[in-house]
Amino acid sequence: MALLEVKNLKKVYTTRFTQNQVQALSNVNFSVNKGEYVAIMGESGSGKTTLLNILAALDKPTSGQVLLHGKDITHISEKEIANFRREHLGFVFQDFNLLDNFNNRDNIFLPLVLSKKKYPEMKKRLDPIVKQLGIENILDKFPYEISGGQKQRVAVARAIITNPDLILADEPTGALDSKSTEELLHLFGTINANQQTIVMVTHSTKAASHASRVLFIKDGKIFHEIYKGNKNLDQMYQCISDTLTLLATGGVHHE
Amino acid sequence: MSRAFYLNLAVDNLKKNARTIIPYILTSVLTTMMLYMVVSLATNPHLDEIVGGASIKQLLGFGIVIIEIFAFIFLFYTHSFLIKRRQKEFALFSILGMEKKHLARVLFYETLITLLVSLILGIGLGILLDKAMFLIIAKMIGADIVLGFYFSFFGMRQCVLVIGLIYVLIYFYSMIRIHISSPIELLHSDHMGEKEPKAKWFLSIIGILCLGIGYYLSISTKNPLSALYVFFVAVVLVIIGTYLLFTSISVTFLKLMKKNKNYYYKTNHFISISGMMYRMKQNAVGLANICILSTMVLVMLSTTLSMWTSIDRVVDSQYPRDFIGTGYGEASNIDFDEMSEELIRMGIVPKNFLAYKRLHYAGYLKNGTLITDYQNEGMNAVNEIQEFYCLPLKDIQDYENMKGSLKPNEIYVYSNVEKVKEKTLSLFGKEYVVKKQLDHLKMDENNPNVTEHYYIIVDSEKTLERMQQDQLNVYDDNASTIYASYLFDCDANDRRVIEKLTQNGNINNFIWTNKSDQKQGLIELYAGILFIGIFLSFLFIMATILIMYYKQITEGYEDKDRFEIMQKVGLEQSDVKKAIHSQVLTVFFMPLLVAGLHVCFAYPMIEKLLHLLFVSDAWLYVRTTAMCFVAFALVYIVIYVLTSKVYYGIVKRNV
Repeated sequence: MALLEVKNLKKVYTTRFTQNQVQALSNVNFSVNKGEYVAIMGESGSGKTTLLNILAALDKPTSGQVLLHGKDITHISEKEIANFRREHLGFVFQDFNLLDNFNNRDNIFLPLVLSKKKYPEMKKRLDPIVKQLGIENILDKFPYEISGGQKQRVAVARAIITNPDLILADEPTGALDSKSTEELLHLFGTINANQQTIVMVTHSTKAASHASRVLFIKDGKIFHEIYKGNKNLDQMYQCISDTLTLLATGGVHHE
Repeated sequence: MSRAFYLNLAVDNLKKNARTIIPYILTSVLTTMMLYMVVSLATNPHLDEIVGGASIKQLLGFGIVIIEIFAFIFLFYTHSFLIKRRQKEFALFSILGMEKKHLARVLFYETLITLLVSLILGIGLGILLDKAMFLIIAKMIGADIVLGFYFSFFGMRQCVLVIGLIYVLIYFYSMIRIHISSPIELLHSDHMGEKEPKAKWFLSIIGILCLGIGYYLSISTKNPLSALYVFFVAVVLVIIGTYLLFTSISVTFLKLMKKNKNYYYKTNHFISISGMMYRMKQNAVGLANICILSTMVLVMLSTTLSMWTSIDRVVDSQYPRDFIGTGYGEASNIDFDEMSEELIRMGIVPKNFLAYKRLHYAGYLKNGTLITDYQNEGMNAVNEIQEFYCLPLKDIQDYENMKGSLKPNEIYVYSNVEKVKEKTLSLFGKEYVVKKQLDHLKMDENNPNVTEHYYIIVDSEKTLERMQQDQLNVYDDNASTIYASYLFDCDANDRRVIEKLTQNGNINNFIWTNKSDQKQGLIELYAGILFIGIFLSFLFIMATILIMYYKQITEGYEDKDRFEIMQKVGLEQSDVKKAIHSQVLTVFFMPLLVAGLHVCFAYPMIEKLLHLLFVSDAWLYVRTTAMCFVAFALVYIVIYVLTSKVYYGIVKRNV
């Protein structure tokens, strides 16, 4: 069974002052299997951020279902939402969203502390992750004392320390230089190799080329998808950029 | 660019920053108003016409200086806060191509507008309330009310000069601030990482020592005379201690809590400890200011109120009878019975009459011997000194209801501290047998316990005279003489009685005073003190409100981002609210609690200082302080509710 299933997802925004309705998502259907690494691509305004917010339970759809392990997350009560987010989802944001008043270790611990875990257990979980991400030396530093790439690695550590079912990444390479981008994407690959499911929203072709599957979204619909299959990174990159050109020039929907 | 442009921009800026500027203007207006009122009252010619108005005027003159000093501090402090908040705005202007001289112009108009508003509204309100204040004072001292409108030109001039000067200084200060900073720096000043504060062990220990010693001094002081001097030392120590408590001790304490991993990594501890640490770093000085101001308000209000409400008691303790006549030197050789007859002849019928001769000297009793040579004993003269009141038994036998008689070498002894252990006392080289120790002495009931003192009751006036001679041999020029006191109540009109007494030559050698005159004098003095106490308290409370308001706003903006991130990571809404609540509550009520603690520890010392002013009812002071504290806490809670609404408004926008 698929880990994540999105069915007939629709989101309509009504602007505050006029009665104009804006359709952000018109009819989105897709599913993600356990251990998959999915990238969602699209231009600005295509609805990808709306989609991610709904997947993250930060926003409610107008209609449709999002099933995680067969459970509809769009109908979770307000009370349980925070809890749900902590236990099942991990987040990596474009602007890192680290708290400056905690040192890096405490930033990583934050979701565990919120889940009321005991300190010895937190420490036990931290050690292997820190080694894997190569951030042993910066744990006692503060977020404002380290580089963007290091910040994003701390953020990744924070996302995976809860062993989430799904990691949601929103433009994770958006604020990084090319070297840090390379390192982070490599890291995502390693994490994914350990059977960690990742859904990443991006408009970087390079970032998307690391994914095992790329979904293209346009005008609130899934427009196209590409499986990586046996393609190497360069072939995948070429394939994605062709599709993007097609999208930009107004290609027709094809099944 | 035209002048109108700058003016418009200035008005626009003021409107845009209404949330922070309006409270500032309000403070400015109220400060101006208070300054006007005090100056106007101090120079009001009607006050001269009231009996005792002059002494109130003198006190108010002193009050003017204090209010001016505080007006300067408060306005400057709050304005520096405003400028800090607006750095980003200035940076934006400069990036958009405004030169510093243009900014200076905009700022000039802004300052001018604020100044004009403060002066016009402040003086206007002042004129309106001035009359009311005048009526209140007149009522307090029980004077006839003079109607009529009074406008103080002098008050207006003083306000324009003082407030104007403060604004000029404020303007120059903001100019300096803008000049020394570069736009890029200004623009990013918000995003500079805040360093985590370090635990300052050394300063924490000094702080604890300061507070400890300050408190100890207050508790341990026995002698009110030395209390005055110790009081200032203790106040300075506690002020230093308070600053260190908020700046260092708090951070060190939080650091210690953070070290305990099992304690620290609990949801509510985790968020609040780290949050508090940064809050303390940024707000420590502000909180310490609030705490000290609150303590000042509480102490000032409760002491002045205690003094005011105990006027009757104070007068009673000094004047057990309506009239008191005292004769010194030659005049003390009078025969009291003749004096009574003389009074009756004059048409005055003395009632409850009490008359005695008394010898009053100082020394120090050690092992039953009166020590008169302080230098050789090498002791703190003021601290150890004791007073001795010697009276003949005959004069007070009836009043004190004492039976029995004494031989020339026998005495009764009463002390307000401890009983004498020895069987005999050696006074100026003569031995006296202590026949009895008295448990209670009516005469001493109203004596404020300023010093340790002894009453020595001797058999007769003759023995008293002999003792005076002995004293003269020892103390020489410093020796005191016997004086005679004649106290009585009387039905007839007080004024006429005292006139008669002073007319008669025979009795004229006595100095006559009456209770009602004394009372009026005290009322005038205390009314002045109370008035200034209330005025300053009002000023301090206003400053407190303002500081807290600004704190809440700044913190609101800073906390907003933090709580947003935490929510994204999975902090529950209810936890957000709880965390915000507990932090705001702690930060808000800590100064009040510490102020309460200060007031409690100040109690022993203030009680003794009040003794000096003849306020001997300790319980009255406790009640007054408790009342003031409750009233102040209520004001504080109201401020809390109002300002935290603003705070939640900012934080909750995305919560």
